[in-house]
Amino acid sequence: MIQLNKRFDETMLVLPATLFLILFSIYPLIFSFRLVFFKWFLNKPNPPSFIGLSNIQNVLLDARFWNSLKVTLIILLIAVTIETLAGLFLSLLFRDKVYGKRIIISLLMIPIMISPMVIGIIWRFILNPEIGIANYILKMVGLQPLIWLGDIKYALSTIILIDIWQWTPFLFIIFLSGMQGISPNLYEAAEVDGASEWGLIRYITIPMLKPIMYIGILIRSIDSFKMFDLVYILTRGGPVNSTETASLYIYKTGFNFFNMGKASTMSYILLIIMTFLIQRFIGKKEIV
Amino acid sequence: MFKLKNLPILLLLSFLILSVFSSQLLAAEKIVINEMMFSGAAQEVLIEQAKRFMEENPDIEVNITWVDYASLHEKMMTELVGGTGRYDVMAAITDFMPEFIGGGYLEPLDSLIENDPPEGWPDDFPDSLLRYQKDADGKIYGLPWWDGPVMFYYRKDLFENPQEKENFQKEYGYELNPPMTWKEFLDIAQFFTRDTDQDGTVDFYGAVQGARQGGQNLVYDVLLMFFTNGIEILDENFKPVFNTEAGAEAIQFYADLMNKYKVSPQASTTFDVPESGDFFLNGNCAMHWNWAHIAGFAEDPEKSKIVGNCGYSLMPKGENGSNKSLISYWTYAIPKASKNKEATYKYIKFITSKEMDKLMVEYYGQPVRLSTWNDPGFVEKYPFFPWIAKTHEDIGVVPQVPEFTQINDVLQITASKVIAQQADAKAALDEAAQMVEQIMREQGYYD
Repeated sequence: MIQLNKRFDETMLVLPATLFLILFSIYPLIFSFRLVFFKWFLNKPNPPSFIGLSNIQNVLLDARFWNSLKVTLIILLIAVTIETLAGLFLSLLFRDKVYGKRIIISLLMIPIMISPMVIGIIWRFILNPEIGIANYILKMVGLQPLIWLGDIKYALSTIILIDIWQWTPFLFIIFLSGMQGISPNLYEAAEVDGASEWGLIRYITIPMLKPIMYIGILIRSIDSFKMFDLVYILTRGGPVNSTETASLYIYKTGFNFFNMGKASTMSYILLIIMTFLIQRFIGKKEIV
Repeated sequence: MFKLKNLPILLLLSFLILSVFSSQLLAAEKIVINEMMFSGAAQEVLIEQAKRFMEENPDIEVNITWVDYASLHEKMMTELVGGTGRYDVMAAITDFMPEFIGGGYLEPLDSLIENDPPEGWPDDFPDSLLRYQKDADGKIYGLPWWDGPVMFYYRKDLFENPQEKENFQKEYGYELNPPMTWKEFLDIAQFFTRDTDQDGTVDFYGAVQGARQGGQNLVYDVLLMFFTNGIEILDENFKPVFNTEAGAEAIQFYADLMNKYKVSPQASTTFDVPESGDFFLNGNCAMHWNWAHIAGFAEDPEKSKIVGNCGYSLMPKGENGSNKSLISYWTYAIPKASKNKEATYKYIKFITSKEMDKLMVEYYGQPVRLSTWNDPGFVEKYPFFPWIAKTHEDIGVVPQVPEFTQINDVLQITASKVIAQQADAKAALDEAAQMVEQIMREQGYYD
């Protein structure tokens, strides 16, 4: 009897969370997966109609989808690489006592504390070809002003630069925290053995920091893969879809064109690709 | 057992509970109309109109949710499809109407109008502002509120300057007047594109465009280039017919204004409606085309550096085209799911009344009534009014199909490709035509 009561109590305690999970995670997942096999335009009165694998075929043959994936991967590879290197550099710079360290670190943290939408709006003003400060500085030093976000030659690079500016502090602070955890004895022993500054970094700091670095890179990679807000605010994917990320194209398909079947299909294909890449990344590393 | 020391806490709690519920009780006596409206040029005048309505109708409260244009279609559509009834009224632009009406999401207003017609209904409204919110059976789904023809603007002070006129005549062999053709437009644009401060860079342009891909304006510019060159978008069987040689030349000309002739700033690829309008209003170019609100803004000293110097004309035309402009106007529509249809109709009848239409003018807005357009006092004070009526004489509209959002996307990418010199104009239009045909086929138009 006491056991029955205990089981009942346990069930009642987890029931609200379970119901929440079913309603807001599991059911939407099942519903959205089902849509992969249906043609459904949300803005039309016609109900969803079963079309088998047509959505999958449509997406796999859609050059625009593959272009958006290419754009996403370019941003991921370039931005995350530079953020990692810059974050490492900054953390090496600030790991020891530096005058004004706390204030400088606080200022460096500002970009990651601001909403990406606000970041986009601020940079739209900075990069305004007519009145923006970026072109003002270029003109001051005798260079030609650029159409940063409206020229196909520069738009993607500009997005990547802004992403680097925003998220390098994130990796910096993670790496810095990781460095605080490395035992000073290791460095002392290495110095006694005559190790140079570079030797200390190469043979002690980086190897000890690797697990933290991999986690930071993984988190940033997942974030970059989902990039939406920055491109939505700054370029809407233009010019000529040169900055259209996969997330943005999925959004347009689902919420501009209301083609829910295709949008759902693209989401799952993206999920499969992302899962595969993460598995490949985790498999080789000592993260877990 | 009740203790005296608990009394202050109990009193405070009671006060808090009463405060919360008293506001609910008071609110329950009022009908609340929730409105979704785009945040832009019309904001100030609508706030004033809603305020005056509430003063005259103290039992009705109007809450307005402002949405930026880029998100408007998505937010309206999801509300309408969801049938939430969260919004009682939406400012629905005619671009969206085929989709909203075709989906059965809006309440037909015919019986409401029959019982309680708006002032001057329907004769006080031009036919061109009553056409695009109706279904195939003629049922009406929205009252027109904010007009939106695209008008052509030019710097009157420059065009009337005797020295400029003389120099232009010498160089081009004809009199400097507002251009009636694209050839004249180009001549004039090239004439006025100048480095006024002799620093080696052009700082005054012949014209400016709103050519940002993904924005509001680019598709309208594409349509205008087609219309003024006598090109249609879809034929009577919904097949795309814009990918002709003439269509390619029109789009190429549009791109060449920036790239080849350099009479429009390269920054135009980052400009949408507000930025290109501001560029003209700040006195940076000689000519521009944009929605009619620019006409009002040009005379507002807080918004314009060219007050008193803005002239108005018709869109230039191509060889085989006409001075045809484009219209997209805002109507007030009631979602079927609204729970306050009668109060909402009272509201939209008020804000589209003669008095409110005249108020629109005071806020440099775009009135929709013939009585306002022809009011002698307004014509004297706002010289662009007769031009609004003239523009309406030859006017086109976006393809009236629910698939316009997708067609819009295709046309924008196509124009952007030609502007970025990534594709030949004819090849780009052929590809666009294939994509539009695929979109229409997918929706069963050719079955």
